[in-house]
Amino acid sequence: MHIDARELENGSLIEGDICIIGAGAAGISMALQYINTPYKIILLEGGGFDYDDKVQELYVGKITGQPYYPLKSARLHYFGGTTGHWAGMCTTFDAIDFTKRSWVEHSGWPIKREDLDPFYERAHKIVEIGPYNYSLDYWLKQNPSFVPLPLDSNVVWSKMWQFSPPTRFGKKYKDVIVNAKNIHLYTYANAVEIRGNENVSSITSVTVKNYAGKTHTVKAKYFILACCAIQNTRLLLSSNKQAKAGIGNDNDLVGRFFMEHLEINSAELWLHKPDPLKLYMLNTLARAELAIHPKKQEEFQMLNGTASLSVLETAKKRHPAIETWSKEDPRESLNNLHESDNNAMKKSFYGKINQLISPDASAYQLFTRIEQAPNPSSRVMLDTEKDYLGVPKPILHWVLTPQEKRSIRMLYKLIGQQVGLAGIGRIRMMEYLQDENDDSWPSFTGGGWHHMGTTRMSDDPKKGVVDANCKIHGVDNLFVAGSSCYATGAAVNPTLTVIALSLRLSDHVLYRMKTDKLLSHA
Amino acid sequence: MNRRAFVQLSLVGAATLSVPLLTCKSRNPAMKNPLAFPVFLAGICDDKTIHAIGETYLKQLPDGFSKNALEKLLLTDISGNILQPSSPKSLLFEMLDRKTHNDFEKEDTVFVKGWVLSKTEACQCVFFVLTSK
Ligand SMILES: Cc1cc2nc3c(=O)[nH]c(=O)nc-3n(C[C@H](O)[C@H](O)[C@H](O)COP(=O)(O)OP(=O)(O)OC[C@H]3O[C@@H](n4cnc5c(N)ncnc54)[C@H](O)[C@@H]3O)c2cc1C
Repeated sequence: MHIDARELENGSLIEGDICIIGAGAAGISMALQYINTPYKIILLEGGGFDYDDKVQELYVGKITGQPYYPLKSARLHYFGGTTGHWAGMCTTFDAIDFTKRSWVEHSGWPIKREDLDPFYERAHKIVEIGPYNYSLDYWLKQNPSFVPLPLDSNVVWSKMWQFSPPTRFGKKYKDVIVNAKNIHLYTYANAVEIRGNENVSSITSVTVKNYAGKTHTVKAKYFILACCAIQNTRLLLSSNKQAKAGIGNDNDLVGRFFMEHLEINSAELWLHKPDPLKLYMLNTLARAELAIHPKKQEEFQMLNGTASLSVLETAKKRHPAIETWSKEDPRESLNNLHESDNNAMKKSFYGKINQLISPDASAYQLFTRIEQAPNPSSRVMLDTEKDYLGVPKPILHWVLTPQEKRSIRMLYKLIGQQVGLAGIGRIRMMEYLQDENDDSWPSFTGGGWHHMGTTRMSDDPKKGVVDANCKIHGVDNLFVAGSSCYATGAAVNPTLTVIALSLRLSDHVLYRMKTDKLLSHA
Repeated sequence: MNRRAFVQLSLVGAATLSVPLLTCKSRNPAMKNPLAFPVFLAGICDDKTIHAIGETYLKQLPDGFSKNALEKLLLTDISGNILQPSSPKSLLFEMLDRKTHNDFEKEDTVFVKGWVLSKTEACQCVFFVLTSK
């Protein structure tokens, strides 16, 4: 069922069992699980079904730390959320990502990788990708033209990825959500405040507003925040009438530990013999990136990161994302990015035949994606300035540490040693990595548009905002879905894990609903 | 980075190191000496790059590290035997290739101007600089 909140009478009361705030990858994945359950689900979406610049304007914020993409264009504010722009690259976190690593301060999740396995499998269906199988052997059998580099997998291994079409949640799931009897989707319903009981140990309602000047109240038994890391932070911190520091923020953790994936060109691979390296090139099904074995990560005290390969001739002509994604309007930024990619392909010899794979390439660009060390100074805060609906605007203070740069250097030293040992070529790192004492970042340093942390997960309320079930510590019915719960960011794009974690949360909330019922009968 | 004609002698891969120096196209006479010719690297980059690597690595070597000491180091095979500079070139190439491989195996690598290199080939770059003077 769909209701446009602009059309409702001002001051309406909306009531349900479970209220999900935000209809992006996380919110829609959860709502899909609740279809045909006996519960009334309220799904609140700030935007409509299409891009609306006025609504998008609500994302505007300041950047004070490491240069970043304009906040207005880094996320999408309508039904389907940022999946309207995502590229669909999917793979799982590694087991090591969940562990406490002595060399990575603030690392460690209260859950393990195995806890997510069944949910990853379910997530695959939602993003329309192949079998839940990331083993290299499996993919080599699927495609005989895939040949791995002859590197020692105890040092450098080939981590597999799969590609979603990419699923645009707004298009793919609109009908199924709108036609579901127990899902009540409210568009143009921007959550602006969360209210609780007297000591805010339980949430009682959420206030929603829109540009039509309407204000409504939503009541439910359970509330799930699924607006992504920056918006979740804004909503929690600005709901400060009852809890002075904001909801869930007794320990000054909400908004802290903001993490991105550093995405940056880092090195070149020069092969002695031309090789198309098909396994490692972008294609429609699956590909591999070079990753470092956990034992080596430990030995060299490095963060988890991967290197992806592309033909150097084409890669050299591509502009860094931090340059092309500079427009406030996300559609313009996306166009610029695509244009830069297309031009690079056209200008390069291989591009003329429109191929990402070149049979006679012997030089490859190595592009890093690496987790950043969780850092409390890297954070989202509230500005004194407010948006049109009266919510303080966000300030993003993204901070990197020397550990990231040292890890990137180590990543390529290890790859370089392996490539040398295999006798297939040599690795050359880019200028900015050459001075081992230089911890600064070059102007082309970018992120992957992956917003993580800010409501990090920990069993200890002094160390995290949510517990292992994604429930906000100290509040019995408020949960968070999405990458803001990440304690560490891993080396890979976040969305498959966002969905897996959301499915796990949806099961948990269903379980809570059922046990509540049993208890009330007892 | 340009591939230059001078590297044509380097052929493909370290396994095929029966490199007849007769085919060396480099006008730099130093290149005729196997000790000054990191054959695998030369298959990837030009002599300017090799020179730059040599100059940079030279600065990283301990003070007073002489050409003679470097020559001796390069002539010492992985078992510690010292070959004669007048040994057949193919023998020297083979020995240096083995040493290079051994360096990577033992993680005896160096990081010069961004390149991850075997110590032996970095020393060869230095030797190239010293013999080109
Ligand atoms: C250019 C680009 C490429 C990307 N490529 C990849 C990729 O290849 N692989 C990958 O894994 N990830 C990728 N991502 C990241 C991916 O898009 C996000 O991880 C994912 O969309 C996060 O899902 P989410 O539901 O948490 O947030 P979103 O998808 O952003 O959804 C949040 C929803 O909440 C709504 N909302 C916000 N505030 C409010 C409010 N106050 N009240 C009500 N509703 C609200 C929004 O309108 C939106 O619908 C990419 C992102 C970008 C920008």
